Amino acid sequence: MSSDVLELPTRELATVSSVPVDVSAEFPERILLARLRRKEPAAFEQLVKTHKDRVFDFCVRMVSDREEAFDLTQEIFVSIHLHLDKFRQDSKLSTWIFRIAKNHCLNRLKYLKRRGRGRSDDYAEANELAINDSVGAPTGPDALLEASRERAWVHRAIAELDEDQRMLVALRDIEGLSYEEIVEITELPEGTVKSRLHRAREKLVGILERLENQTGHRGE
Amino acid sequence: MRTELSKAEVERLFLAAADDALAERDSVRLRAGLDEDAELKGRFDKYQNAIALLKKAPRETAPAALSSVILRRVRRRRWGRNAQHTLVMDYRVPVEVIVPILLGVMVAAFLFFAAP
Repeated sequence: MSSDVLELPTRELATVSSVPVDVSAEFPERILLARLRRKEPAAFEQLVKTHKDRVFDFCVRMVSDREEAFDLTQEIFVSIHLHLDKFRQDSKLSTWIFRIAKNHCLNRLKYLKRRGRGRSDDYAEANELAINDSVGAPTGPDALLEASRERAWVHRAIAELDEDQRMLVALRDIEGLSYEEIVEITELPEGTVKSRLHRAREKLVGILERLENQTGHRGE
Repeated sequence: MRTELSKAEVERLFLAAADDALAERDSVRLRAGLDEDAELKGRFDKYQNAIALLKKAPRETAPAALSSVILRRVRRRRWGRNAQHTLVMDYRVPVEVIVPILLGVMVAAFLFFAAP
């Protein structure tokens, strides 16, 4: 495990391990939690509305399939509803939600692998089209083409990463979470998170370069 | 103090630089390292571009029906749990009724098989 840890001379290494909580964000979260503990249906509805897009986006990145992600997101929220009493409030609610989402995604990927439904190129491409259709289209034909191509590249490149790398890239570079939050979600040491993320990013560079060369469009 | 870094050491600074979390001293060393090596500079630019591409990638939005499907499933689960609980209450037969019936059945069976 020690070889996995990259020593990084950054300011961030000096930060404490607990997640710094924004007081302004914490207050409404506490109110929501209190309401959830009182089993108010409106509170759970609010929780779903607040977090569904982020959870769904994370699931799509992890499983590369909108239908699977749709199904997974439902299961994640049902699980959240079931285990809400177990939330100890030692981290942010969103961090706890992402930890549940991560566990569900990894279990689903294992299940899909066991059933022989791997992430084949055809499968990934079919979903790529569905994903391209689902997100907002920019105006103008050139912008549309370029944005569509970049979106497809990003989707394809993430899909080619290992599960752990994909998870780290999704949490850090797409969700924009802090390292402290990622450490809590993944339950990995900060050094390991950083070294794996660095390797994931380097692999992404290679994949994007290859895709660029295949299409030969970038920069024209 | 050594100011020049090896190629591997400069590469190790990429992550922190891309996260905008480099200390001033490391920032200077990174810039010096990149200025000296064009290939390394090219790699760093690609590294940063890849992250920029990820950050600007459009987010997936959940289908409109997702909230209602989740809330329906949660309601059904809650109702199902309550319904199961009350079902036991509704169909529970008191012991005072079951014991005399069982005794009657046993006596009837004994008389039936004991009869000549």
